[in-house]
Amino acid sequence: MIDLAFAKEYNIRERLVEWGMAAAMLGAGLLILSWPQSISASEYRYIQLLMSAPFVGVFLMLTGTFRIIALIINGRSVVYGPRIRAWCSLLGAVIWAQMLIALLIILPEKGWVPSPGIPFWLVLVLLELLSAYLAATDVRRST
Amino acid sequence: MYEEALKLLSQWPVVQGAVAILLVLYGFKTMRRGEAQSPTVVHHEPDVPSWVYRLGVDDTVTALKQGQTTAEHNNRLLQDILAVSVEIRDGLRRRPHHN
Repeated sequence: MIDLAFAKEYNIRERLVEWGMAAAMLGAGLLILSWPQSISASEYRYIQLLMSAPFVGVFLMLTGTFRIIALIINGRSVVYGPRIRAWCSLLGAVIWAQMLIALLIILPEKGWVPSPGIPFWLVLVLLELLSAYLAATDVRRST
Repeated sequence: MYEEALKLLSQWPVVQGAVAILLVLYGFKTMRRGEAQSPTVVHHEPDVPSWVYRLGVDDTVTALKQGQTTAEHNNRLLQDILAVSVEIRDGLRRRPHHN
């Protein structure tokens, strides 16, 4: 499916988390825009206390798209590419944290039975922060 | 006032917004720390002057003025070219590769 030359050209080995998160963002954004009820009728509905479902969808689509573009062009711009990647990781951390909080808010309604999604979102938030740091270390500045 | 602050914090949208703002601030600080640790500089200018001058026209004129024959000068020039080639090769090897 993906050969080694392709993986090498786009640094998939080193940036697997970023590629994976970008794909997840695009997929989730498309799904939420197609079916806004996937937020409003699910256990993530309390995310709407802060932002509407269409906003979440557009936010995810835009961030995912910028991220994919930055990952592709990164080798050609070592000044701006890594910075875009780092900011997209940070925005990813923000949105995944909102998913996590939504699962915490709904706990009383669910009889304090926690969702298995909680540790996943928490790990994703931490991974995104780590990605932001690692992407920033790729920035090259001229003097 | 303390009670009002507590009441405000107990509202979920405030918590959600505060978490988002704190994450952005912390993430920005993390990014700055990452940038500070990156290998610093991109050199856009190749290191040419050191060898361009050695192979320059002035050098040839000076050599001829000093009474060197063309063959002697050409021989020296060839040696210079070889030395410069080695310098350039070593310089390219030392240059950090980044993608």
